[in-house]
Amino acid sequence: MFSAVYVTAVLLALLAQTSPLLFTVGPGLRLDLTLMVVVYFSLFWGWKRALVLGFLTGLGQDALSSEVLGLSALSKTLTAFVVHTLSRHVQVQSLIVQVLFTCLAVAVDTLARLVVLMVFQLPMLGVAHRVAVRSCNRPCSVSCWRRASITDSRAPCSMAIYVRTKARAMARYSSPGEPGTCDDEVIYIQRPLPPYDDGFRRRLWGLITVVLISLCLLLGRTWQLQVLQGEYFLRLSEQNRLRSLRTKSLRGKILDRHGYVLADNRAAYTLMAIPVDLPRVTNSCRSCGR
Amino acid sequence: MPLLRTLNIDIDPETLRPRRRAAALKPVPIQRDFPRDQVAYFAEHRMDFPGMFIEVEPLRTYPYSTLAAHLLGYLGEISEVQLQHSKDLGYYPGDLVGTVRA
Repeated sequence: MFSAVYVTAVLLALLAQTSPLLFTVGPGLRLDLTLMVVVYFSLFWGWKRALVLGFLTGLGQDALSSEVLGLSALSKTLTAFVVHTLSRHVQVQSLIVQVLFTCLAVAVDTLARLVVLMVFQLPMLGVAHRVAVRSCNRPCSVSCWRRASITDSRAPCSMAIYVRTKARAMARYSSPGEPGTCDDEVIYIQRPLPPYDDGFRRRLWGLITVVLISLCLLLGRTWQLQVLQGEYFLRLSEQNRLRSLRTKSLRGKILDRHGYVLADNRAAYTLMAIPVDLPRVTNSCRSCGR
Repeated sequence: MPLLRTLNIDIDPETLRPRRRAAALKPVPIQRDFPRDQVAYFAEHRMDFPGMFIEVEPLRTYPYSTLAAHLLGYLGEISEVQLQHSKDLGYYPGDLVGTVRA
C-alpha cells in the first residue's frame, strides 16, 4: 500500500519534471520534484527503506534525464540518509519541520551534485546562461522554446541551446534571417543524450565505475551484516530487549479415590529480593540482620 | 537494615553472596509464606525496602495436615545436588520440587 503510494508519487514527480514546462522555472533554477518525494518519505519511513528509495528515485531520475548516470542516485541517497538521520529525534508531523527539512535536503542534494561534478570536472548541467545571440534562423515566439542554430563556444558539450526571444525583440524576427539583438535570452537545456566526446565519456565512465564500486561495497557489507552475521546480531539484540521472567505454575491436586483433596494449592505471599538492587551489605548490617 | 528487624526476618548474607556474582538480576526468595500482617506493613513501607518486593506464589496446602504425609511427600527448595543432576530439565535455583525423605 505504502510502496504503491510512493511509486505513484515518484512517477508523477518524474513525469511532471520531464515535461518541458518545468525544465527550468527561471534562468538558473531547477525544480526537483522527486527530491520532495524523497524527503517526505524518508521523514516517515524506516531507515533502510529511506536509503533504498532515495537510491531508486535517483536512479530513475538519472535514467530519464541525460545527466551522468548515478549522480542523482548518489545525491538522493545521501539526502535521504541525512534527512532520516537528523529527523529521528524530531517531531516530523509539524509542517514547519517538514519545510525546514526540505530546505536542508535541497542544500544537501545540490551540494552533493556540485562536489561530484567538480571532482570529476564535468560541466555543470541545468544551469542556464545568459549570453548574447548573434543570429537566429527561425522566428521565435515567447511562449515556446525554439532550437537555435547557433554555436557558442561557452556552451557545455552536453547542452542543447535554446533561445527565448524577448517580446521586444520578437518583432525583428518576423522577417526570417534577420539577426537578433543582445536582449535575447539563451538557455541551455540538457540534450537527451550527450554527444560524442572523448574526454567527457572518459570522465563519465570513471564516475560510473566509482559509483558502481561503492555500491558493490555497500551491497557486500549489507550481505555480510545481514546474511553472514545476521543471526549473531539477532541474538545480540534479543538479549538487549528480553529478560526472561519465570512464573510458577500450579502443581496438580492430589485426590484420593473418593475425590477428597489430599494436597492442594493456596496463594501465599513470598518476600523476594533482587540482589543487585539491595543496599550494600556492610558489617554492621550483617550484625543487625542476624 | 534495621527495618528488617521490624519485619522479623533475616537475610542470610550467605544466601546472597553467590548470587551477587552469577545471577544478580534474578529474584531470590527471602521468605516464603509471608504472614499477612507483615505483608500489609511491607506494602505500606515499600519505599524503605529497596530491592525487595512481594510476589504471590502458589504454595502447597494439606487439608488433612499430616495424614499420609509419607505418601504425598512435601515440597522443598531444590538441593544443590539435585540441581546438578536435573539442570537440563529446566530447573533453577530456588525452585520447589517434590521431596520424600521417608
